[in-house]
Amino acid sequence: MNKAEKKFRIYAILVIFVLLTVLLAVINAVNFTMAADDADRLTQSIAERQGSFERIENAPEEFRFDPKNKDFRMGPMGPDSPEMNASLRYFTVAFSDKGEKAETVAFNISAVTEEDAKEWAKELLKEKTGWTRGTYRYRVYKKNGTTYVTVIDQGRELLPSYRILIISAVGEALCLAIAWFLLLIIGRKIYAPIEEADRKQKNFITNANKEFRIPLTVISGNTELAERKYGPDDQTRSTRRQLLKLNELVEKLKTIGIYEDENGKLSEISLSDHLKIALEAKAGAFSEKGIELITDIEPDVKLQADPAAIKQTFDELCDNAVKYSITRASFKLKNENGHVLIEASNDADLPDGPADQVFDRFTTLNNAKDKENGAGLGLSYVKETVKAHKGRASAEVKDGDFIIRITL
Amino acid sequence: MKILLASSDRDLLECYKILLEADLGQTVTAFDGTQVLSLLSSEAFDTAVLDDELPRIEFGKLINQAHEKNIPVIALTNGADTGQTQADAYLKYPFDYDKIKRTLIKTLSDAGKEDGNE
Repeated sequence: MNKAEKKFRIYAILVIFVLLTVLLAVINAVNFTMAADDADRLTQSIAERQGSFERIENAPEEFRFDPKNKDFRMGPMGPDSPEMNASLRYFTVAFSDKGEKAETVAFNISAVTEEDAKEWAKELLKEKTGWTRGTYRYRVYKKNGTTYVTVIDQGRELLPSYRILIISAVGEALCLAIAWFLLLIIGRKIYAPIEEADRKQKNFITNANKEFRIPLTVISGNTELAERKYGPDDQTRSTRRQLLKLNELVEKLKTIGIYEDENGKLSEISLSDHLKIALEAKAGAFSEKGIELITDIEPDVKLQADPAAIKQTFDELCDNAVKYSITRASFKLKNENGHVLIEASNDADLPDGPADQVFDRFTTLNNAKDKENGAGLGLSYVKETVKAHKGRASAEVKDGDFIIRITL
Repeated sequence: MKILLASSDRDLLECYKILLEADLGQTVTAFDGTQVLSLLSSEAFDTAVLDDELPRIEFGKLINQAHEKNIPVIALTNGADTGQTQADAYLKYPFDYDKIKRTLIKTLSDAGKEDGNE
């Protein structure tokens, strides 16, 4: 399975999970808040009736059944319904004489005895309103110097809310499972063309690499012929320079094509030695361009790596330094906390900021001081190699210095 | 000195024929394997410069045929599978004229066929 596809699925499922959780959390929170609100309105209406909810003889108009009115409909029972008392499980205890004397004003509940009810109410005296012992809602209020404590059992009323909560949890798990399954299918559909495009790009690189080679050879031969016939001039020299560039490009295309196909063989190599050799090979080029070379290479830094790829990577880094340094280039290599840190930097006429785009294919930073821009493949090769060795590479411009950092 | 130069690209044949004839000697060109085989059997060459992907005839067979006649072979290659054939020298595209010339001279001297033309 494709790594990017896996990543996509995990992120997608995470988004779905967060969305569903927020949605269901809001629904359930609102549901329970409304249930509490209903219970409060109920205790409020009990309070208005001095703690007792007797049968209402004359129900308000909207609750009164009228056989002649064919349009009469009863809605869901709210706390204002006159039928509430029939289904209400509650008790009210009245406290007079500063809480010394307790008396049950109303008592219609099975789970509690009258004695316990008084004890319980006493505990609640200092409170105002809220939930107690699970699904009991209480309200403490004063009327004519007497303090009333009403406790109502909302267990049955809350049952649907709890059901919704459980259904939400199970539903969310189910939705996530279905989403995961769909993402498996969709992921394939989305990534198949991307993989195809990737494959085509690689094919193109392989083909371009091949198809460029003979034409370059022919152009080179024809340039030679033209020079023999008419003598070398600016045009033929320019053609030769461009040919050199194209030849270099073709070589790099080849290494990229190969590297993407398979990882090289790993063996323990001395990065220090490899970097020193690469720098020595370019020493002439550095001094020719008047670039001061500063190195800080810890000896014997070893790593399990592909020697050919590392060699090419260091060559590319040195190449880059030769091409783009203005007056000075610096290379550091050290072992730190079990990782190898490589830092290649040079002074550059560039604005500060991250510069990771240099690792993209065919991308070079616009360097006004130097017209000798490369094809923009060298550092993309570096990145490929670092990735293949499970390392990280980053680039930035800081205080006018272009810095590449590699951790392996 | 007589050189057999074979490639499926006629532009390449045309310009390198002129250059090689100017510097080294008669150059006969072929653009597929069949032509190479018939030229090898009908004419004598000091060396053969052959593209390793010539149409029609397998490259190994062309090399064998040339070697039977004691003709050293320089393979022109795109870089793939250089280890699998038995050419006497390899020249990777893209090359310039100097390179093919140097390779030719070296191959001829290695084979003891240097004839003082250069």
